[in-house]
Amino acid sequence: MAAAAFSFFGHAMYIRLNRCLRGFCAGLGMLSGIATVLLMLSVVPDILARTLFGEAIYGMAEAGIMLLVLIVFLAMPAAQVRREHFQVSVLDAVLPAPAMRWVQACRYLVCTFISGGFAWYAIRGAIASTQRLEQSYAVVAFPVWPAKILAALGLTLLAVVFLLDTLDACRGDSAAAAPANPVAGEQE
Amino acid sequence: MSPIEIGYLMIGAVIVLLLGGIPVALTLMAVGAAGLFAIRGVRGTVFLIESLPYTSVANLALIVIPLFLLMGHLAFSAGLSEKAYRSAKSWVGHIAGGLPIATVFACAGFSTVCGSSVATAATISKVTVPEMLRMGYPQRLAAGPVAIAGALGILIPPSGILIIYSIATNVSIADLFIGALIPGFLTALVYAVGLYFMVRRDPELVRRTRLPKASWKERASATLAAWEVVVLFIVVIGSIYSGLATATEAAGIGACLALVFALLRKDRQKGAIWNGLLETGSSSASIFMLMIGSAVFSVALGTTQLPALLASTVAGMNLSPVTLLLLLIVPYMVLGCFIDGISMIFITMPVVFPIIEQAGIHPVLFGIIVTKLIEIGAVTPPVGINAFVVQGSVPGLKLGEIYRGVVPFIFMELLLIVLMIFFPSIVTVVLR
Repeated sequence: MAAAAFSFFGHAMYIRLNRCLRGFCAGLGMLSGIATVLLMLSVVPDILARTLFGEAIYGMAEAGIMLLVLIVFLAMPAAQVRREHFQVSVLDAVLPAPAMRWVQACRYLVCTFISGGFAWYAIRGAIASTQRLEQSYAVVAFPVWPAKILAALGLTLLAVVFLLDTLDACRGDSAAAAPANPVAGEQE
Repeated sequence: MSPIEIGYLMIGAVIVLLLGGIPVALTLMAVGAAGLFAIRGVRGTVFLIESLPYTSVANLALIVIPLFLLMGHLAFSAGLSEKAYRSAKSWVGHIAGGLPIATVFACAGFSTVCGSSVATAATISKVTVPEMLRMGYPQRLAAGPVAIAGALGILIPPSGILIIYSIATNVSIADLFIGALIPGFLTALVYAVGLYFMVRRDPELVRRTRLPKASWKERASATLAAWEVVVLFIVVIGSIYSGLATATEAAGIGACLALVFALLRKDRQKGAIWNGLLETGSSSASIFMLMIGSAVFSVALGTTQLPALLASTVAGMNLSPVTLLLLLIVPYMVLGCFIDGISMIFITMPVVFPIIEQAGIHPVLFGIIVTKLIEIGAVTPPVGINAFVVQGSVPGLKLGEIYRGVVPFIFMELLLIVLMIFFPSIVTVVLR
């Protein structure tokens, strides 16, 4: 009975945690979209300043790079939640459904290791960069370390989403891992 | 093991992992990292692995990608696809095959503000295919043209694929956009002429589907209603062509204008702009993820010296540029059946582009030819994403009928590619 209760509550907690993490990643994806608008709003005044006054707005280029890093790495886990990462799915059509579940689990596990490995090295890079307060020196000095922390965060969350996908595939729980967009993964 | 052998092993590993369904970006990252460890050892590799994800993204020139993606999504939210179709219909609706021809021109028009073939096919098919089916067009004639013409989104500038090609090969985005103008509109024209003759063979279909000729007033009114498309095209492509703005600046202004148009739209769907923002973010992330993978893989493959060896081997064969381009059509067509265009560019360019450069082939011409081959890949089974998109957009459409419908257009595409190979000035004449 205790085991059943534990299993029930453990299951309920896992579902809640899973939804929370996926929701958090989707929220980061929305933040990334807002950052794209900010990027656009930073480019236009810069063009106007250069056209009208013959001078660029100082720091806009550096801010643009920072926003680009924000856009890309914040949305990286969201793209996996929406199944938007490009992949070749030729085998999927010929595999029977029960085998497919385990193939998916293996796939996601491999992805967890790859993204986890890169996240590990990105974290090391971010720590080193933060310790020496790394800056870029172009027109103005601009701190690079926050961008490196963002890169590490994005890759780590991507690995976490892949881990959740692995667990979902092992449990045969397709609902939590269902793609949000049926034609996702294609930007052509 | 020699570095060259490691290079061959890396290519083999990429094929195996891709067939296993591992995302393309992660495949390239894993194989690239493994190759680097094998050649440079741990010390020489760790620094690269730590820094490449950040350095591949933190580049001012790459700002153009999310900005053009944003512009495309906002153009869709602004309802520009419907306006382009109504305008095209008023001009050609009365001729044989009028509606499919109007669909082709609407796709070409929407492509001038949207760089995605999927978005173009999805938005135009929702508006046009139900109307064509109601008028009595068979499924293959209603859905086939929109599936293939949707792919014009990746050829007519601003094109997402051309931007990716530019990043993968360091060819100027402005040159690629300008070089794609004639092939893009020529393709639309060839499709339209083809459709005219295909429909004219069936007099009963012509009688059933012909629309009354619109008056000049109606045409002017429908065209004026689509003024946003014209303004966006002139601002974006006009400013790049005239040298007034760089591609990044044009993308920024274009996205800003598209946002204004979307906000001004009265019948805007609730949440359409927010959804566009979310899609822009996640599309950007998946493209940049590929770029990170490509950066790791390219550095590793370059270290093996395999691309240089292949380039010199091909150069030693003394193939003419025409023969080389004709030979390259086949592998790209086969790849296009299984892999999306963006991945195809990042996977193949580290190996193929040095060969193209060595052979003296114009890099803009090669970019346009590759883009046209990707267009074919977008409608050929088993992946044929545009066919799926059109089928998903209109209930009741049969996938087999859509594939049947695109067959004549694939031959037209191949004809155009061969024409461009033999007459490169179709692409290069407008380049300064």
